[in-house]
Amino acid sequence: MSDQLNETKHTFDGIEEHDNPLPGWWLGIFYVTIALAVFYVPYYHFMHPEKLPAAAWEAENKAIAEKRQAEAEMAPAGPSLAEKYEAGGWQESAKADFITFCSPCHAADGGGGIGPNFTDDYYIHGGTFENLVNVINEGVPEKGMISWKTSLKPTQIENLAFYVHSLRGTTPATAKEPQGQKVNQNGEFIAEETP
Amino acid sequence: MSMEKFRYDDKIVRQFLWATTIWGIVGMLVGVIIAIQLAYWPANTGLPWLTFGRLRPLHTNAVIFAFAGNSIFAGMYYSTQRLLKTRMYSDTLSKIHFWGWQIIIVAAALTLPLGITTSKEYAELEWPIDLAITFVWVIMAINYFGTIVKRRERHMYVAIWFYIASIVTVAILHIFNSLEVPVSFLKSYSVYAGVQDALVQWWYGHNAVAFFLTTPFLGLMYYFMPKAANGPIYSYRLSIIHFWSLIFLYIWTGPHHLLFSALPDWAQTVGMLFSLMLIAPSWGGMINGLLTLRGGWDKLREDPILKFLVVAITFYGMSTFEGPMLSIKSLNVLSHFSDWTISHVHGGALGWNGFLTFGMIYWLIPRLYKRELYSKTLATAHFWMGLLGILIYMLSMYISGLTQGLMLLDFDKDGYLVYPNFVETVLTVIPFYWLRAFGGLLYLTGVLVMLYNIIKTTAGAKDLADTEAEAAPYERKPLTGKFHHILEAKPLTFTVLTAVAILIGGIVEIVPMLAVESNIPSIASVKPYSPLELVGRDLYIREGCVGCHSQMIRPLRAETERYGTYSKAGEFVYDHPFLWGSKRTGPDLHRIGGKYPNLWHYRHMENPRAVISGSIMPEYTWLLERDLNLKSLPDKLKAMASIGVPYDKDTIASAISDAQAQAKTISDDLAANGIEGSENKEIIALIAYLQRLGTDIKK
Ligand code: HEC
Ligand code: HEC
Repeated sequence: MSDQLNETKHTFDGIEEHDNPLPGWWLGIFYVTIALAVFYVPYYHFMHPEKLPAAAWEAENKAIAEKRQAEAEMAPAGPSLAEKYEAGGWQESAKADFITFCSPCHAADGGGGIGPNFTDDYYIHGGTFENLVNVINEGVPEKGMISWKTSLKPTQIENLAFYVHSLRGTTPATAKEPQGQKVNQNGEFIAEETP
Repeated sequence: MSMEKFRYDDKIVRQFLWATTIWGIVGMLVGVIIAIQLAYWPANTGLPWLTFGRLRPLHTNAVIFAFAGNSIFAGMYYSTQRLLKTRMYSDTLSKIHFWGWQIIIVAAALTLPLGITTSKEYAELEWPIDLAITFVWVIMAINYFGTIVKRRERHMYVAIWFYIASIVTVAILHIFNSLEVPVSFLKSYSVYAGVQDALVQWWYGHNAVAFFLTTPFLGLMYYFMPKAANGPIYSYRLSIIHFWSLIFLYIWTGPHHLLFSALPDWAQTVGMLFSLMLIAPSWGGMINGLLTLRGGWDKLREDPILKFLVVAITFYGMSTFEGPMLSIKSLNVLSHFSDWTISHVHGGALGWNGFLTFGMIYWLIPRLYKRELYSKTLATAHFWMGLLGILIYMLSMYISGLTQGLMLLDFDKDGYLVYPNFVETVLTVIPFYWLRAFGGLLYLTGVLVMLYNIIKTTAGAKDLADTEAEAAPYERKPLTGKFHHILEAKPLTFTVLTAVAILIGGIVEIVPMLAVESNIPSIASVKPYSPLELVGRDLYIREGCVGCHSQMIRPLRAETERYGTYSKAGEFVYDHPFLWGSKRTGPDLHRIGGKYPNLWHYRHMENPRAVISGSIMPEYTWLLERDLNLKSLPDKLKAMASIGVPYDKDTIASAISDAQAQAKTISDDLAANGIEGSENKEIIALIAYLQRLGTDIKK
């Protein structure tokens, strides 16, 4: 072996140590990682603090909010909720979403549990499509209904509103007692009748 | 020169060897059990002390402190005596060290399943056990430095440097991270809160990896590798450079466990950059170890011991490359809280610590029992089973982490989460949980084969007399040579310099966090927990919910869309201890407060699958049955007040009645929904705590 030997020529319990030079590639890695630190700190912390996590998060959110608003303004007035409901095609995906996200509280057949029963003619927040979309979007956090607008897409939420509407008049396995006020065919409150 | 005759203490080494083997099997068995629990939730059995949350810390503590710990002590006692040409300083101290350590392990094995825990990772043991650890560690240190003092060999070999660094640093880490105020005999609160607690904890946690699982094992490597390979260490000057740079840099890296957390950005950057700088110093050890075999690679084919050692060092090199990569912020977004981290630590634990230990055991057993190894074939079989086990384990966890991590971050083109349903991401990776359990089982089976092999080797061995040795007496002549060579003959100076090297990083990071207020901007609406919520928090700690749930929402859109706005430093100022967690098997809980009605939580804790189909969370039925214990509340509040939580006299005096009043509002709400008789049950306190989480900021 063409090793460089240790000048002390000392051994420990029979263990010999040679004294080869530090490998060049090894030193290279060491220097590069040190140099990286020297550049990284001024780059992120002084020149581009906007790239640090919280600032970047804020910028990203703002960009998406602006994009969504611009899109909403540009979008041509589409069919109304009622027209979309009639057009159909939402049943299957809405049912699947309902089972995944809503059944824990409203039961798979809409009979209610932690949340209200959807099969009767009574609503707390109104039963029009607009009412339903609104309550699913915003939730009723103080009463334990989740706001779904960050986790579900607008079309998913509309479809869920249709699905909830379609459950009205069906017969669930176990029906929770009615909550709220009675509504008419369109879902508008009929003021005088409470259960 | 006249030679002195003396004997090495071999018995203590044999004892530590058996201890590492037995505890290793126990720790790995618990690991296999909790792996199965994640794949198949009914394996939680419904018994409180066998649920995942309580067994996970038992697994980590057992493999780190019992398996790796006893392995270190075995190798350290064997090699130090021979490298310094002397018997250990005191047989009595050695015995106290051995038995004290085993008693601590038994205490851990009893308390952790009972839910007696501080919840700080790898520092879960409660304060009386912490004191016992300190005592035993000091005993060991006295014994160790005593041995150095009475050495015959003037210069200290590189293995000894690493042992010294380990002994000194672990003592400092353990003491400062375990500062806690006792409430009762088995309950305490960390003196630090929130961000500060997190920083101290990960300064400790990462350096437990460094100074318990790395430096002592490098010490072992520097002795057993050249012994087994019968070759010279590659480079003495590389030893020097990599030793000092390693111990100096390592201590700074803790914050890489807290990237994107509420820890100030400057500290996160320090953690990341020092981690990257650590690649070369770590690889210095790998080079020195592997190149011991240069010119003799063919020996690998026959010798199972060398196979174990070489693969161990290779895994060391891989882990110390992967670790710094995972510290890069942009990659950490994906890997943190995911199974990728689990894959990473097991490369280190099973590959580096495990295989080095097995190699050492196979080398030592025949020498300590003066017997041939019973079966080289079985040892080779153990090697292949172990290697295959590690690879299956690591690959499955790597794929699982990558898959789930990507799913959780995935947005569609309109900027909506593709997988808003957390459980869906969990269910996707269940097959890999099975595969991981299989990999672990294979590895464990290999260890059982080793157990059989060493039982066969040692059974009936008669010649257990301590090995006789002779050496020239210590000679006090003037030291010559280069600076470091002289330093190696001055243990006191060497130890002091080591302490200085490891203190700098800790001081620079921790002191500003404790002293400079701007690091943790306060939020006026954040108030201390109510007495009932505090009791609930302690239940959360007892059940080990932190093993599956984080409470730290990172400033990433994927997280704020899923969980709510990101977590701020000021929200945690009353969190003694912090409960940010390190692994998300379930969703983050920092903003769970007010998300669901009380009834939902009640049903979910009773049976998670009643509300979330496919959930793998264990059932916590006993929380619905056990009575709330409010007796110790005044003591708890007093302890909290003593560390700066603003509970005044009146609050403390009325703590119990306040708690009862709050419990009544929750149980009334449940009663209105058909759940009767819950007002004095533990579940009420837990619900109170969950409903409070992350809500102050909204006021
Ligand atoms: C955590 C339980 C929970 C989940 C999950 C949940 N809800 Fe609700 N929901 C409630 C509660 C509780 C109420 C009653 C709120 C109130 O009292 O004002 C409610 C109310 C509603 C209402 C208003 C009913 C009324 O009478 O005005 C609608 C519509 C609704 N939920 C739809 C959904 C849909 C669609 C989903 C699935 C995407 C869903 N909910 C998921 C708990 C839940
Ligand atoms: C084995 C890992 C595990 C443990 C231990 C565990 N959980 Fe969970 N947890 C989960 C998983 C997975 C989910 C997601 C599915 C679900 O909601 O059940 C979850 C969900 C939750 C949720 C609902 C979160 C949300 O936003 O929907 C809460 C609340 C919760 N857990 C509380 C706890 C508490 C309290 C403990 C301790 C008593 C605990 N968990 C222990 C795995 C675990």
